[in-house]
Amino acid sequence: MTLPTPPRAGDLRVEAEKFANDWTNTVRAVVGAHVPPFVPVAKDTAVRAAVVVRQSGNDGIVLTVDSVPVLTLDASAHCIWDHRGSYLAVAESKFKVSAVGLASEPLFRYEFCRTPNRSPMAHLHVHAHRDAVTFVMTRCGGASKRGRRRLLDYDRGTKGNLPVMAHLHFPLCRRTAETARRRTGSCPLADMRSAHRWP
Amino acid sequence: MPTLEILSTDEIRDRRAHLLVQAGLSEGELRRRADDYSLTREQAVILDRIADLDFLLEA
Repeated sequence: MTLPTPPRAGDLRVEAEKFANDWTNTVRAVVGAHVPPFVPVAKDTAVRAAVVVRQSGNDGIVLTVDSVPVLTLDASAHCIWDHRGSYLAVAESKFKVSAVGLASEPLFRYEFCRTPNRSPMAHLHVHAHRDAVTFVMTRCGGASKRGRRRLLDYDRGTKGNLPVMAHLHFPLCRRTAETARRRTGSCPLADMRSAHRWP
Repeated sequence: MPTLEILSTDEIRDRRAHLLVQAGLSEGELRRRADDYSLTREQAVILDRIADLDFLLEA
């Protein structure tokens, strides 16, 4: 019987580079080519292969309405091998949507933890007070039909679905960006067809 | 497009210490303020980056 070869840290780095590249292309397809790239960071001599994928710079993904920043999306992932050492797996990922100009508390955040302890594996935290969401809605733009509709009826309050997917953390980055963009009508839509299809 | 960055353990520790200096707060105070959501955006980003470095240090 042949035992499987243990995965090597170097291979995970290659996979993480592709992953970071995918993230960059996906977010740029939704938000625009100006978004700083996602960059993988690894340790040189790791016992357990691990790579962090995070956006370069500190600004996050900024969504604008009429060139005015309205929302910021921060995304990062901690990558490891899956249990068989075959595929890149995400140990933990975080997506945080914040209103520009409000307190540092995000409006909402998605988190995924492959080995959860106190919290569920994938979960959505809604932090925003209704007023904070309304404040953002009042700044809706006309880049999408939904944004224009929200602009007209924001005083009726906000409604809508926030996508949550358990193991499929990857689409969340695009979906979070898209949800934020569509709800507020921010940012001219880049070439969506060039974005990766959801699995 | 992405350029893989490879850090030694010492570099990770140095970077971590540098981030704390940049934050202008002790780690305990940074975490306490994070619990209250009273960090500035820059400080919140720093805390996220510290978590990234801790993940790598544990690997």
